[in-house]
Amino acid sequence: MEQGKELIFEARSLTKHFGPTVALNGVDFKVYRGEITGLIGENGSGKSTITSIAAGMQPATGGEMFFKGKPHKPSTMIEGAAAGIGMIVQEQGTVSGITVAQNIFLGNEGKFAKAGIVSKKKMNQEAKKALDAIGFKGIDPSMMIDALNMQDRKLVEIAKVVYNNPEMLVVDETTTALSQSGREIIYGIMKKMRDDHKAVVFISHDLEELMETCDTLTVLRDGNLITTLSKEQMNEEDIKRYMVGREMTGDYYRSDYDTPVSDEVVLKAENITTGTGMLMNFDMVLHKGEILGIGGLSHCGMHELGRALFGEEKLLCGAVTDVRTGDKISSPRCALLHGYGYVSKNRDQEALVLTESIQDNILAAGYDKIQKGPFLLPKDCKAYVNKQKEALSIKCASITQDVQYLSGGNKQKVVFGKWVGRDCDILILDCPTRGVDIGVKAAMYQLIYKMKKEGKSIVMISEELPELIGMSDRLLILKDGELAGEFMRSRDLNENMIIDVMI
Amino acid sequence: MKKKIAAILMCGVMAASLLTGCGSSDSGSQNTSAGETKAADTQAEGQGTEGTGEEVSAVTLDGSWPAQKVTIGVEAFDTTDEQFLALQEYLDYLTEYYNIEFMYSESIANAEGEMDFIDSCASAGCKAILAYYNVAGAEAIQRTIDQGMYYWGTEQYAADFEDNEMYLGCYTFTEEGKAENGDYLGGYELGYSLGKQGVQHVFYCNGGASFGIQMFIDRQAGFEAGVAAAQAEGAEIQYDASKDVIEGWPGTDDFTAAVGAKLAEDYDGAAVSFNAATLFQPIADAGKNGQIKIAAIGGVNDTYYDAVQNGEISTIVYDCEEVVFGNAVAQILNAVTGHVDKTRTADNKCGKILTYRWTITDTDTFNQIYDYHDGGNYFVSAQDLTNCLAEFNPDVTFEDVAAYYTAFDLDTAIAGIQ
Amino acid sequence: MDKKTKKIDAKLIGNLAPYIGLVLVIIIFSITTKGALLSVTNLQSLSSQVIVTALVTIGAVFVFGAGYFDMSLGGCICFAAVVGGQAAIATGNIFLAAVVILLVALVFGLIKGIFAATVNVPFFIFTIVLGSVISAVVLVMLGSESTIYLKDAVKEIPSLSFSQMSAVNIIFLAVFFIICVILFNYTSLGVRIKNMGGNIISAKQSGIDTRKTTISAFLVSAVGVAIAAFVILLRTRTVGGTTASTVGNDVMVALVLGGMPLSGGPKSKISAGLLGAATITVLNSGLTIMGLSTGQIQICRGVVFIVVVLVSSLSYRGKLLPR
Repeated sequence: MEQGKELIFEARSLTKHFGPTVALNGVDFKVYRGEITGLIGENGSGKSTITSIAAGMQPATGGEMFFKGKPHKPSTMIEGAAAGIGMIVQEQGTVSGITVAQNIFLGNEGKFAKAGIVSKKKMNQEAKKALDAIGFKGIDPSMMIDALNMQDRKLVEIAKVVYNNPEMLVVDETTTALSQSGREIIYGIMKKMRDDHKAVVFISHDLEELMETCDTLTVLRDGNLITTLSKEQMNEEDIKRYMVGREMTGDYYRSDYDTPVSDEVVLKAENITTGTGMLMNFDMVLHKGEILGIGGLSHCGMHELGRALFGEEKLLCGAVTDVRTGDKISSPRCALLHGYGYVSKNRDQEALVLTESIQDNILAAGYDKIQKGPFLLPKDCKAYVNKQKEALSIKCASITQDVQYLSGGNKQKVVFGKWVGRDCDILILDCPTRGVDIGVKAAMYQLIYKMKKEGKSIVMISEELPELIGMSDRLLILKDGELAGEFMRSRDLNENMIIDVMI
Repeated sequence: MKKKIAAILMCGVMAASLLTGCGSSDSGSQNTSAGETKAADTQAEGQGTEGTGEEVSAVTLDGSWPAQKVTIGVEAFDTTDEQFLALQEYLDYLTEYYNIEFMYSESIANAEGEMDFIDSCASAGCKAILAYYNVAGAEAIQRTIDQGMYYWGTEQYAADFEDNEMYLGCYTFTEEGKAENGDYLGGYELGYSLGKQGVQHVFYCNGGASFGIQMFIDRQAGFEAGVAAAQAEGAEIQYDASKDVIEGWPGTDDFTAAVGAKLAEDYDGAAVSFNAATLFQPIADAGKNGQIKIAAIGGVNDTYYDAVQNGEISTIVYDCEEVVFGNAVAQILNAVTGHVDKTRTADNKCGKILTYRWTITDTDTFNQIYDYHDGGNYFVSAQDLTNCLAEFNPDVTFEDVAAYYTAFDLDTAIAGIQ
Repeated sequence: MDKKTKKIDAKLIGNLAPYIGLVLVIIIFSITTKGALLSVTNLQSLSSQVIVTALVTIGAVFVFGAGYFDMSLGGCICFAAVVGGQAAIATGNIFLAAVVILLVALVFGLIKGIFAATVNVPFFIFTIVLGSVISAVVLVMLGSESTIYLKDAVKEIPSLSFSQMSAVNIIFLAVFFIICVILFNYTSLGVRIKNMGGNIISAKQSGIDTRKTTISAFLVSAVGVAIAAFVILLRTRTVGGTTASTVGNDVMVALVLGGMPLSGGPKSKISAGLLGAATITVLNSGLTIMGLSTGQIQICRGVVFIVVVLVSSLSYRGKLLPR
């Protein structure tokens, strides 16, 4: 501990239980002014739990907190924000159906009210100031927030939090959903906070990003604080080891090169143009046993391609054909019956029914596999779902637990479980490792590789270049709805080569 | 969690206190006009001498007879209807003096609701159903009888059940041998009295006549006959069935428009086959207060009070509750106390009691009746009723009871309270 | 661990609330009616009172469960009953009437199902319009008679005694209930419906045939409607424009009292149909037998409703955050 560092936030013996799960086990956590502190850990390690308790999202089960020297026990987020802690999260934090300005001042409209009537003009002016302050220009505050895409909505959320001048800013896994420009905005904010003698707690799964931006890095594991590293002490190997508690054996992605890929085509898209115009006259093929990576900048059309391959996207012309049977893929159900699976990138909105149990979620895609005639017996259902739970190591209290109570990584495992249980031959994955910690990521890569070895074909759409480079047999880069480049797997493939083509 | 428990506890306390507070609606708690002393009853006793043969001296009615409480179910179409409320007041008044209790239905919407109510009455131990309303026709009567209860009312099906002891007959407006039924006669009164009052040009709101509802068809036929009769006697009233009729019910745009149109013309009279209060506002809006004479089938109650006072309503055809419907109580009480023969005619058919509607054409008469009721008096008081009951008057016959109620035409009734 | 047991208790209480509600209502009203509620005759009568609501509500679990708000149920019963009644009177054959009723109800189910699955208009609005149209058509069909009576039939249709009717009620209800339990819990229909009700986008992406599921749901509901219409015809031998006019509201109240959210989804259960209908029937019967005035009855109903909803919502008002 250096001299002259001023403590802004301290948690002492902080404990949090969720039912039988211990999320935090007597953690002592300190945050100092003028620092960007990183928090890293696997899913369930408790990193988000600490900050959400500090921000007032949920109460602690035990222990105490101090903020700016005074006891800190907020019961709502508004209280937390009022105390001076601002929090930006991974999930969607803006409210649909109202304008950008209204979102920014949600709960604080009183500032612009005279005799109970809110002055929209004043609110919009302030909103513009807030947006400019974070460098997010070109947005009209009076427009409806639904007109913005996910990333821009996230930036509005950030503007909202920053506007309240927090003394301590928590950035919780937000950067994963953002493009490079979005990330730059956040880094800028974080640096400014630090320079203003305030504090930032930065939570991310991206080790590189953390090592670059943080002054100190704290590692949590299973609800315990393992260690805090200073900038000099930070290196990838050590950090991974602290996180997982064991040596990371084997390669993260896959270690083979020069594995030949079969020539047999299983799926092809011919001359497809999507209804939204994101893809124009696009062609591609997928081979048996191939991991096909698809990448590009946001809005390049890769997500639409994934949907189109699964029959989810309306096509204006062209067709997606399952070459093995010769049938056209016209709807998700059609794709399903041909042995396809699809993992959407909007996990919570499209891939899962949050209020439903793990069991029913997995059954939704797989019931026809265990049906006996028209009948679906409960014990067959349980057995089927438990099999997926074991196979994927889904951490849950029971399979009848609602999916919304699981951590991000486990939710993703449930989504996988839907398709793995069906023994799909062709799997289309859109950002499969988003919001998932290292341990789960590794498990997923191994699973994908295993499936490839079994002769299944995988389309992997991702915004993370290392992942694409590390996993793909063949990599397609899209730009503005067209093919910009195609790369084969090789040791020499590096990010720069790809970025050249992407931009 | 604490807040949830507190909320639940509060709801529970609310529910418990409500339920203990309600109990069964022993109507005695609701009746204020029953504060009347017995002395006032003897005033009306004069009525009771007609046709009973033998006068019965004042009996102490303290709610102890019949020895076993008799519960009577009363079926209603609309529990907020004024006539029903007036009937309810009369029945509740009677409970002060007799050991009887009335179980009122909610507004019955359809046949299933009616059946449910009849079944519930049976479960609650009712001895009889006073059918102020009927939907399922003969089925309802049959069900009541199957459940072991007496049934009073519904003239339409009387013929089917006339040999059945459990069917206690009904009231009727139709005189023996005559074709015109009560609705026809009511409509007749509307037309005739307006004509006699010097109305020049009248329009008629025929309610459901154009929808095929028999009750209204009869009323319209009666109305037209009444107008014709008045014209035959020299009245100047003008009425043309093709032009002077408004169809349908208030509440629709068509009705409002039609009323507005009529009011803009030269009409000075209106006959309504249902609640006339619906015309008050349109007339006020058209600025024709006091210029239109309204005749309606209605009641002597607060709704019409002001309109009658200032002459807006010139004719009310009124079913006096204690006369027209009250005879049910006499029939029922005789039946349940072992004197069912007193409810049947000499040739052992169910007893239908002829009653008259009162056509009130002047304010004084209206006020007399209104004030009489307002003071807690009834034309058939609890004391009067004893003359019809075999337990008090062993020599009484059904014909005596019928004659007693039939005698209550308007003039007799008014004379009785002078 | 304290929080844990509290949370589990809350969920348990929430799930048991409809059962507790029913038992409590039965106990309270048995006391206040001095046992009249559970007398043999009243139990038989209760079977008649509960059956229409129960049949329709159990069928409604399928429809509401999939996320469709159907406000035309009462209208469909009325229409089917009127057509069936007219058929019975014209031919004197009650079995023919039953067939006619079933066909009419299924046709409506099909129409609603196809509409819900293909047209983009909010379904709720469609059912309200449908309900109005049905009422109008019924009035036209009835013509000048506002009510039709089975006793006017060409050949006499025998009427059932009280006990016979009770037996018929119980048989119909039991059979339909069991079939629905099997359909919902032991075939894929229940899983598909709950998924659709929870998140229709996810359901489609899971490969569920939403069109087929929707139509199936409405057909099941239509069978319930048909049996209900037939039972009304048998019991009251009277049908008119106001037949089943209160069913629409009763169904929604029954679903909620039975512990199922009206928005459907994963918390839908068949038991809600039976429990809710039973609770509301016992409540109504008890209040009537007690001889309360209309106003008092309304207040009591409201209080019971609030209490059961509050306690039920403990099970699905999760405050836990997804972390």
